[in-house]
Order: sequence, then C-alpha cells, then structure tokens
Amino acid sequence: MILVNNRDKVEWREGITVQDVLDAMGYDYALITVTIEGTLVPEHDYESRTVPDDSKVGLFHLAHGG
Amino acid sequence: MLHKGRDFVYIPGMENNPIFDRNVPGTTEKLAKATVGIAGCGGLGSNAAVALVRAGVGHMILADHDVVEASNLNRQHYFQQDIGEKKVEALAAHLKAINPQVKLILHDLELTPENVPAIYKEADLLVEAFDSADSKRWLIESWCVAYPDRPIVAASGVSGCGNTGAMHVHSSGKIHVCGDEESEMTMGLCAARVMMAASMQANVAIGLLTGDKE
Repeated sequence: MILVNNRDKVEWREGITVQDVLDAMGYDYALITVTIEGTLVPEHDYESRTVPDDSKVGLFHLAHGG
Repeated sequence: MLHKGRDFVYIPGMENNPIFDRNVPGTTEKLAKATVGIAGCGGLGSNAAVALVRAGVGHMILADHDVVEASNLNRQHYFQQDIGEKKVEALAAHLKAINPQVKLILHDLELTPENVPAIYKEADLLVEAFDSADSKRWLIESWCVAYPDRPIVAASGVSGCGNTGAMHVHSSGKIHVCGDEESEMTMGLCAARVMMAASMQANVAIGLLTGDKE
C-alpha cells in the first residue's frame, strides 16, 4: 500500500510509477511537486520512477499567486 | 547584481540589540547566525523578509528583477515613495530601517533554474516567494537537487479573501508548503491572506532555524 499525503491510500503493484499514483489519485493539476519518503522526484522522472511498496508519497499542488 | 559585499561572519552584539529584548529566549543567537534566501520580493517575499528581520535573522539574500508598481501596494511591503524603485533596493531600505545590523546581499536579476544554486549558495534555507506556479515548481526542484539537505519553505494557494481555516502547512522531507494549495491568482489577492501565508512561511523558517520542527 502507498500512503499519499499521510491520508489517502493507493494500492501497490509491481512496477507502479509516480505517474500511475497521480492518475490513481485523479490529480489533473498541471503543477505538482512529488516526494517519495521526503525526497523530491524530478518531473521528468514521473513516468519512469517506480514507487516501492509501503512508501509515503507527498503530492503538493502549486497554485499561482504571491 | 547590485552589491557584492559578502559578509557571512557572525555579527558581534546582535544578541544585545534592544530590538530583540522581547524575543523568544534562545532564538536570537541562532537567528543572528542564519542566512535566509528570499526568492522573489513581492507579496510573499517582502512580508516574509520583514517578519524574519524582526525575528532577528542576521543575513539575507534577496533576489527580484521587478520595480515597485502602484498595484503592488495592496499586499506588498512597499510604500508610495517606492513606486518605480527596484524592489530589492526598496525592500533592503525597509529591512535596514528595522535593523541596521542585518547583512543583505541583493540581486537585481531574473532567477532561473540555472542561477538559483549559485545565488543562494550561502543560504541555510530558501523562502520561495514567486507568483507563478510554474516558477514555484522549478525553484523547488532546482533547490532540492542542488541542496537536498537544506529546507525550502514555499507557498501555494494564497489568493482570494476569507477562507482562513483552509490555510495550512504541508511538509514532506525538506519541502514545506504554506497556503491552501488550491486558490488561484485569478480570484484576486488581498493583503491579509498573502501576509498570512508569508507569516506562515517565516514562522516555519524560524522554527527550522531555531531547532523546532516548524
């Protein structure tokens, strides 16, 4: 099981990627920052980076304004 | 770049400055030694910088390439006489007016993923204070790749007014994001909410620099 933002659960499967987790969460925001176990995953790695079982994933939605 | 006077040595006597007589005990000495980077000197950056200097942060690196416009005054820490001035210079003057001992490095330039690591090389912690979400993302990525052991305190979702209870701090590893993570700039911006997010950023930074978690 993958725990997202210490709240939501995504079922783990062999080879599941960061992009798969985003899809499973229904995140269609254009601008997201992702961490696995607190370490940032660069955007260009979303399709290739696999997520280990029992991982904690952080998803930050970045909105315009400041 | 406006000034090259790098001086990151400890400032003797900073802890005896009467400005800080009412500070939380034990924080002044730690903050006097700290260097905080401010990436963008608009609504978030100017207000966070003011809070950090008032807390006693001794060194700051400011970067922004804009000049102050009248439309900034609804939320940014600038005044009528600053209109037309470079933001980094106007903000530096205001910060020095609070604490003349604070050491400032000013960069009047556009930040890019390529120049961020060098500009903030000396920073213990970076405050992300852009308005564009795209820029927020590349700044977080650039900082975390260059300095994976140093915190970044960002903001996301600071627009609109009211909705106070939606403001929160979301942390993972060295990344801390303050705001509601939803509201967009098209809603308009109001000082109270932007300053709230900037104060949350400053408070998280102070907690990290003084040894608390947030």
